Amino acid sequence: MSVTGAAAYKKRAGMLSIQEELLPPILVWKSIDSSVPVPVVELPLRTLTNLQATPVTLEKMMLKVVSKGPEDPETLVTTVFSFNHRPTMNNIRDALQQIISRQKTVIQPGLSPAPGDATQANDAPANGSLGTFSSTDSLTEAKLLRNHTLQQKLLRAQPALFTAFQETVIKGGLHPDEFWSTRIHLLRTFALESSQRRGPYNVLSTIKTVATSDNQVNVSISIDKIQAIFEQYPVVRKAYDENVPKLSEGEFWTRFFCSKLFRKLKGEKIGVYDKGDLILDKYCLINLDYLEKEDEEDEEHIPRFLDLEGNKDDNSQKLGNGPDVTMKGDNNPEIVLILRSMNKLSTKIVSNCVPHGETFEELEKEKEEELEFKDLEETQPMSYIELHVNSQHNSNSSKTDTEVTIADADKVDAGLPEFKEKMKDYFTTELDLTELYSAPSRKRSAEEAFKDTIQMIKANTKQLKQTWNVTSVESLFSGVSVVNVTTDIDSSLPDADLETLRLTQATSMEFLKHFWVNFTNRKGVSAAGNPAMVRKLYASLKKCQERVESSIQLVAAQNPVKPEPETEKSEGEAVEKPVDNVHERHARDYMGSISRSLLVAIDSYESAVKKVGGVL
Amino acid sequence: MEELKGANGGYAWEDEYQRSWDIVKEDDGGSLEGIVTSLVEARKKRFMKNVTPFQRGIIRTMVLVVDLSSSMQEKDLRPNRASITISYAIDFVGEFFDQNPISQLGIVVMRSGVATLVSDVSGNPQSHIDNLRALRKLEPKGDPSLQNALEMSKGLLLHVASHCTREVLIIFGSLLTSDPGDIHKTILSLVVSKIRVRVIGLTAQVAICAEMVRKTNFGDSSLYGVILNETHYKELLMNAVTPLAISNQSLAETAPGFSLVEMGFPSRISETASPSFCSCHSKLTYGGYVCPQCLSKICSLPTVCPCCQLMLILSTHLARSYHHLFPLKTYVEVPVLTNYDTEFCFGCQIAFPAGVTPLEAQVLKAKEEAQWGMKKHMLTSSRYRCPDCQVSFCIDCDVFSHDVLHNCMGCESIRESPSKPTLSVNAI
Repeated sequence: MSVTGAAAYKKRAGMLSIQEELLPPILVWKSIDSSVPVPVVELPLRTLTNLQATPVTLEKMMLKVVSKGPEDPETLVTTVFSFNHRPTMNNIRDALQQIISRQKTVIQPGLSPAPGDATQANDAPANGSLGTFSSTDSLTEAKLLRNHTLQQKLLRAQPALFTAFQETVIKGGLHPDEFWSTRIHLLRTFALESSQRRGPYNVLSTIKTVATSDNQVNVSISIDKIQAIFEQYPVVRKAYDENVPKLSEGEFWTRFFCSKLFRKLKGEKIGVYDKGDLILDKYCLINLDYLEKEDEEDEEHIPRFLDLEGNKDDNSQKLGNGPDVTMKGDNNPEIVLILRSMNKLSTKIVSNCVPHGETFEELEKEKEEELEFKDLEETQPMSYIELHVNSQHNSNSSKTDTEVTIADADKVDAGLPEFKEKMKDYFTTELDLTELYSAPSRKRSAEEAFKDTIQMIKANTKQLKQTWNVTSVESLFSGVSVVNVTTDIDSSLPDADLETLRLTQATSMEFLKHFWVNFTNRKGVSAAGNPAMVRKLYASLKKCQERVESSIQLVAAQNPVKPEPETEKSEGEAVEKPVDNVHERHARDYMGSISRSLLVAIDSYESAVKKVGGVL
Repeated sequence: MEELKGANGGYAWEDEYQRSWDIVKEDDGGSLEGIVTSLVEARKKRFMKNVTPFQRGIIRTMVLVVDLSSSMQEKDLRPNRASITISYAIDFVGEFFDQNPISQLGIVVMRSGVATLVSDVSGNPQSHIDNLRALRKLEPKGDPSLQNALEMSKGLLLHVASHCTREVLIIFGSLLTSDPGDIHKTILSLVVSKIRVRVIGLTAQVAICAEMVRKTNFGDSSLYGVILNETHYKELLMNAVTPLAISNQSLAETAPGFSLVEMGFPSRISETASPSFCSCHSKLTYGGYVCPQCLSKICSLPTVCPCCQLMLILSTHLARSYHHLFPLKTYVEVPVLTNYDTEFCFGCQIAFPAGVTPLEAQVLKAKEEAQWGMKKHMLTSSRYRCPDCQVSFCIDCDVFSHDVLHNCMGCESIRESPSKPTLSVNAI
């Protein structure tokens, strides 16, 4: 049904028609009088760029079609048709308008994942949609430890973790399994996030059109949505396969979203006067069932009439009082069609979720469970484990240390009369508060106390403030992603040196962690069974000690004392004149806590070994 | 079901609708004071909580799953479901860590058919709140997937030590779940891993949620609640702050054994002269806490020592979790009498209203009925008495003791006489 209408071209009467079925589709004008040698006008629809019609107010009815020249696409050719019937012209104008807007469809590269949308990134593998959730089984500790590709991916995703890995495993000689064993949860979370799949859903219903300000209708779809459409509607795939080389990708989808096929699949009502799409609407007529059956080779297509099983299921007598909605005679066929298509889709989605490989007994049990009247069951009263508290008066009271309480009470009792006596005169005599400041002996001590207090408050505020700063950032060693934003406390050392120290500290911490895990037997691995590992880690700790010392020396060497060291110590505290290298002292201070930790670890290992009479 | 009962004994929806301006009417003297105080008091009376001490896991690990699918754009809660959920979740995080300081929380979001980790399992409320705030920018989209969310929660909870509870709290706004596989298998695996699921539905009961809650909680389906209104929503959410009681069935299934949990109580140090690297973030800090076992420096408590994996807490943290195990007994309202033996509230020393003779009481009641047409009587003695120490409190002090202090001021101020045998707390 191509659009045609009577139109005059260069004052000669003729028929103008749009022929989309041809390849390439064209706009043709033919003279009615075949005897007159007027050349046929043929404009390939793809070359059309612009359209102009005389407004309704004018009597003249002319349509100006601007198209690219046949030889040179730069030159524009204008063809003018005149009409004598306005509806005909409008009809052709509308059809051409649609065609031109279709040409302008561009597939924007930004269709798929919008920036800042983290979940989108995971969508890509999501639509395989068949089969069951497989990642569950692969999350055991042993399997995660063996999954080297996963580990590599995680290292690539988290550079800070990679640095730690490099320092400890590659350079420090820690066994990779040991490294990962304390980070199993990281691996597991990462595996879960990357292996997640989406469940099947009604794709078409999620596609929404957005009208823009310049009166265009935009539809944005991503690649995985297109894949999902193909998966759920084989007919669209068929249409795509058959048409796309001819049409451009963008044009196909524009046509598709305008077509009756789209509305039918989506389950919308199709009005008689709705405009469809010439090419794609013919796919509506294809038997959708048949097409789907084609995919499933193991199932043969049986005509409905002969299909015993199907007839048995469709038996309306079984449905109680009324037949199934889709089987009622007086139903609007349109509605039935929509219902059918929705039902079909649901069946398909559900069938994807049907557990495969379940035994017959399991299926039977499931059926039996379905038959039970769950709502009528008696609810069992819940019983919880009660705590039995023996207390004289209040279980809340936490005075468990009775001895102390009694002794205290006695003391208080003894002192009470004396105290009462004192208090009697306390409020009768006048108090002179200025005395505090007036007496010189007291003044001094008050000032000193004041100073101390201020200093203490300052120190505490400082500490609290940095605690807040630091805790708001996720850490390297407690796991999780790393945000490198915390502002360090101003240090007199250059950044590079500070980083050296930090790296040494972090590496030592990593070794310490593994040492303690193995030494205190917190992992459930018997320490006795793994003394070799602890011994090895002990050796590493010794090495760490050396490394800490050498890094301090390195920092000291790189920052020789200037003749007049600035008092750049943080928070402007007064510093006594340095006799030694101020940088070295700072570095040593910075590393103070880690050195102590190392010392304690080494000591406790040595004493433990000595206790059992071993030799270091 | 009890909470659905309205004032007349019928269901809430059968009740006559009382507009707030109908209730508030002036009395004879043209004063509103009487009715206002009684209204305020009525609101403060919480319905009776079960105060039997149960065994509860107070070291909790919970994953909060928030639905951010397209159904959360519904505007039945103002401004919409998603934003009210996020602000309630922020309140919840605060309350959760306030009452369970030694617990841990993680946050997962269901959106466009997948589950996304928003906040990793940790004991730091601030980072959770920041991450939740960031969620406000995210538009609810797509379908939710319970299975994906549960699988992810399971993964997050799998490495948790056996003395901690494993819990999942799902805020579910949709009526569907779009899953890649069989959710029943996932539920079974949750049961095996001893993960307990609690669901708050925003729309209506969903069969799969009910089943999930029942199966993971030893047949207890009371942990699945569907909200009636915004207040009820908040109430359901705050119920999750109280640690779950351990049911008898769970004990029957597991071998009865009580394990000791090793904990360290670190001491605070302050380094005023020069900072040093902390072991948790490798940052330069002034002072912090020092692990008693490995002497490494930690920024904040409670935490697990980054060096020797020892659990580090402060004793106050333990004390704060303690009241869940020994809830304070509910104070009993003193009936309306002619004369009372107490004149002032023990807590705040505010004067109680004077006694009312039975005749006066009857007149008042009749007047109330005539004036306001209410079947409920507002006349109270305004005295609430602790069943143990027999001390009377006003309603404000009652609320304060139960919600904030978790201790009875009366009982605590009783000084034990040396002759009396003192109390001993024996928890089996």
